[in-house]
Amino acid sequence: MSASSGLVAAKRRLFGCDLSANDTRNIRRFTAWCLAWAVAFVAATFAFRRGGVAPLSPAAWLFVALPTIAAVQTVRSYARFLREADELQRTIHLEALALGFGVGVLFMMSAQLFGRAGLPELDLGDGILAMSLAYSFGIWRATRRYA
Amino acid sequence: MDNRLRVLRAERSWSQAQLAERLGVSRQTVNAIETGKYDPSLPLAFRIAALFEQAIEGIFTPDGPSFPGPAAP
Repeated sequence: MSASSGLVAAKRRLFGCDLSANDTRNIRRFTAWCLAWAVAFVAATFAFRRGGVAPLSPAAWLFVALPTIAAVQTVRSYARFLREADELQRTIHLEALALGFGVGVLFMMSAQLFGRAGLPELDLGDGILAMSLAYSFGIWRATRRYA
Repeated sequence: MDNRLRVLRAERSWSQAQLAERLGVSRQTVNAIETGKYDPSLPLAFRIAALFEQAIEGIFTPDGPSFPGPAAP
């Protein structure tokens, strides 16, 4: 078994689906931009926390611009994937996006209420984590449903 | 929505992957349509009908009561 066919088999076992060549290419492009975004974001955060970057200096602008450009490209590549995706894949991802968005809104609304009710306050930043987890769960659930 | 996709495919001895390739969709999509878990979009339904040289209503039939159609004049 070649490495690529092994990867396809593993992906099929894990997600119960096989992507078309175009979808695989678009997902790879999206994943690459995601990684670039994460690396640029971590590098910028590290640089600003160390305090070695003067405010409004060219380096400061660079550390703001690079993650922003990567983020925009990430969103664009995902939009392209959705636009060109196999129609069942598009349905699966739209269902997952709806779940992720709903959980994110619920989390952020609840976070405010928790604090006012005297309960442990939730960090609004954790809403992004909740959205990501709900989105991943949504992908898994929808893939299983249509498998 | 019920459909005869599996029967039509079997008549031609095509695998799900072969049918998927002819339709330009994934094998998972063909499988989901055949098992009734997913209803195809109208463009895909037209492509399926054209591939098997049949009318859409000859392949797909609604689950519930069918629309009565226009009233007779």
